[in-house]
Amino acid sequence: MRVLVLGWEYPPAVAGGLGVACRGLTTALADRGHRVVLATPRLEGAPDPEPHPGVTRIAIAATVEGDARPGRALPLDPYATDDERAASTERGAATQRLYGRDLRVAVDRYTRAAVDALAETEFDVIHAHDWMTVGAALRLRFQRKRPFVFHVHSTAYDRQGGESRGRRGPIADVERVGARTADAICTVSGHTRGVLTREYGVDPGRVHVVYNAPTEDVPLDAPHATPHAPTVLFVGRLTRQKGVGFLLRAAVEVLRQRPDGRFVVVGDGEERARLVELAASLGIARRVFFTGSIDDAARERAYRTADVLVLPSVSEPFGLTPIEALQRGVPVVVSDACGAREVLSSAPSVPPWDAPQLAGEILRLLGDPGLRDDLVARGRAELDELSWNRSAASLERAFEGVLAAER
Amino acid sequence: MTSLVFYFQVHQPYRVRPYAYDEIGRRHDIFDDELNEFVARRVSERCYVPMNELLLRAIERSNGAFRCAFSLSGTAIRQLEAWVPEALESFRRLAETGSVEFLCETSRHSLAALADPVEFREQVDEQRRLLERTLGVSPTSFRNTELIVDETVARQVRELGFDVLIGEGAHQLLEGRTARALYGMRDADGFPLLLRDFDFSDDIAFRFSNRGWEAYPLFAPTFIEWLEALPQGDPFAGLFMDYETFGEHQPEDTGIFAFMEEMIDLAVRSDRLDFRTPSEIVRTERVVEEVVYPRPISWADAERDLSAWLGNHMQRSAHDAIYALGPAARASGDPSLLSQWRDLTTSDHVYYMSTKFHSDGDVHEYFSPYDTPHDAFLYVMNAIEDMRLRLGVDAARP
Repeated sequence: MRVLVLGWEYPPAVAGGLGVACRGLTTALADRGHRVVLATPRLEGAPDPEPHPGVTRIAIAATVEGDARPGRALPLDPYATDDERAASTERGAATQRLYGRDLRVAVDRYTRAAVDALAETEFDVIHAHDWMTVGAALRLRFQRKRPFVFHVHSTAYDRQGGESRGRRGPIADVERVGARTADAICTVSGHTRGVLTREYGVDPGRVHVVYNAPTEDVPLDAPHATPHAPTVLFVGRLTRQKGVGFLLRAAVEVLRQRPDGRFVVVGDGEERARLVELAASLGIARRVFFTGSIDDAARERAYRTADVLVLPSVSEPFGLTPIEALQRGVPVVVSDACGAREVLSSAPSVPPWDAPQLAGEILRLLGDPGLRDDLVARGRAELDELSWNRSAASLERAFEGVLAAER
Repeated sequence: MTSLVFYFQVHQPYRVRPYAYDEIGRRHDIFDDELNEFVARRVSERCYVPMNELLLRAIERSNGAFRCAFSLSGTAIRQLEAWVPEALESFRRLAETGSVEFLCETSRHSLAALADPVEFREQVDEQRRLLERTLGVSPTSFRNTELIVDETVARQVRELGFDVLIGEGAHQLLEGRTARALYGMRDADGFPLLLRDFDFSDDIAFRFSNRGWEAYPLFAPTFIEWLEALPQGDPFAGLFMDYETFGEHQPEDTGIFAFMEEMIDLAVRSDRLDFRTPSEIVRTERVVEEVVYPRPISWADAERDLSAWLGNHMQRSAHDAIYALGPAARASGDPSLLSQWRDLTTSDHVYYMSTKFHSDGDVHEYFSPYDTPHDAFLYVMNAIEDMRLRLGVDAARP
């Protein structure tokens, strides 16, 4: 099969899970013998996508000013919410506005340039990742008469923290049009299929769940070599979606019972100032450390000195950090609203907003090394069931379905 | 005759460097030496050296009739000693004229008077030794950090043997009375209080270069006319301001140096004005009335209270976390560790964490080396955590 992949971020330039998942699926499709063309925007200052045998990259002009380095946030932030753009005096609002405005311009340029840049490219099916590529996918579908499979990694609804007003706004509109006009839809979880069904009115029969998977093999070599305080880790963007405020409220109870404990919050985002102030007002600032965005080595150290990873999201399409944590021998607690929970049934899960229950789960894990080992072992066994190759196989079935419908 | 009591505050903190979480327990240098040296050199070049020279010449021209007071924070003295010794030398020359009084304060420009009486006493002793060693002076007047005063502060200062305390002539204290009189503090055995006349002081310190001010541009003869028009019964006017006003906050091209030079000469020649220092005032004037502090009062921001340093949760968290380590730091027996901890007690660290908006927020931002108050907070909290580990203080201790 000849697959045209319309992507946005792609390693080594990644801001979140989208780029990692796009690479996982794209390379697995190539490894399974498909001829893959990867069309991603050319971003000023951003490195080119990693090459892979069987993947031909075509750069689409979408240039805007910016400084994107590996491991840093992209200047074009695919996770920007409509609200961020409207924010005025919050920290980084100027930056967000700038990137927000640039993102619109860049998406427009990408959409217009894609049709020309791909005029000579032959393909059987279009595989388009998230809302930024929907415009280009629809034009190509119309002009080239090829079916379009829309892969949804995240929705405006999730990014608004699971509030229904996330259904409105220009980005949600693009997502809705994409989901309603695509020949088939793939989502990273049953959770996201539910969001599309509930919030966007999509027929669930057209949605295929294609789970994310671990990307690399991480050797589990003495993860906790040095003694350290009992440590609870969060890794992710500091947005409302991630529910870190809920973790901080649980931290109050955890620290009351384990005053030697510490919470490490890795990542940055528009909620940072509010969360830092919240930790201070809850009286736990001495035991809560905000690292900001950190490089891979520091992130690795953060995992290696953690006893529990928490993903407290209020609405999370998938959530790759529980996988990263389990690979490094760190047990996880997730919220019910995380897609990853569907593949990690061994992980304790709590309803979003239920800080007391979250505190209880954290304390149980901090106090019981045997339980931690057990949950890591069970979680890793579940991870063994996941692979990008298997996910690509599911994706193939979605492609075959739309191609069969054509005939 | 009204005496002009000039007191200039010289202060530089040891600013904390962007101290990352990942460095806790691995790197123990917590201050931004490069930035601190840069600022010390720049402020010396723009302000301390030229302004000291100007004042020295004014003292010589007037045969000592021009008099003023200074307070130099210990952190500023140590930075000048290390990086700009010629600037410290020029302060020493001023001390040698006999026309300049040096006030005492805490050696680390700290809030210890409110937070930790033991630490306060030690920092005052340390400052006395530092002033004796570097400038050859033994102060008798006291200025607490940012003019923060209440009865608790005054009682401690009195016990340490000082004669007078410098304060802000705030509305909430005076309630309509003049700042140009010597007051006593009722609940501190009438301890003498020398107050700042913030109208006249801020004409120079804040409004001088403000083009929107109705008196702009202010010339020396006008300012002298205003002072000469004061009631004859006003014994003095306290003109207290940051020394960095001259050449740093008000750059040279605003004409601030020429203004000061001419204003001093005009006042020296005036038959209605002269100059005295705080210790001269307290020796010659009687306390006219006793006042009661409703709460601690400072010279900062519109509120003139503690909100510039302890106004939000971040500031209070950091303040508490710093002082919680005091007993362990003093008991550590490690002079360099103790000194490093003491440099964390400098009030600027929490000042940078202020989230006040409006005009005062601008002032905080002007002084801050950090992008946001939250950055300032997180860097300091990381540095405190490293210090806690080095001191072996149990995290579980409340």
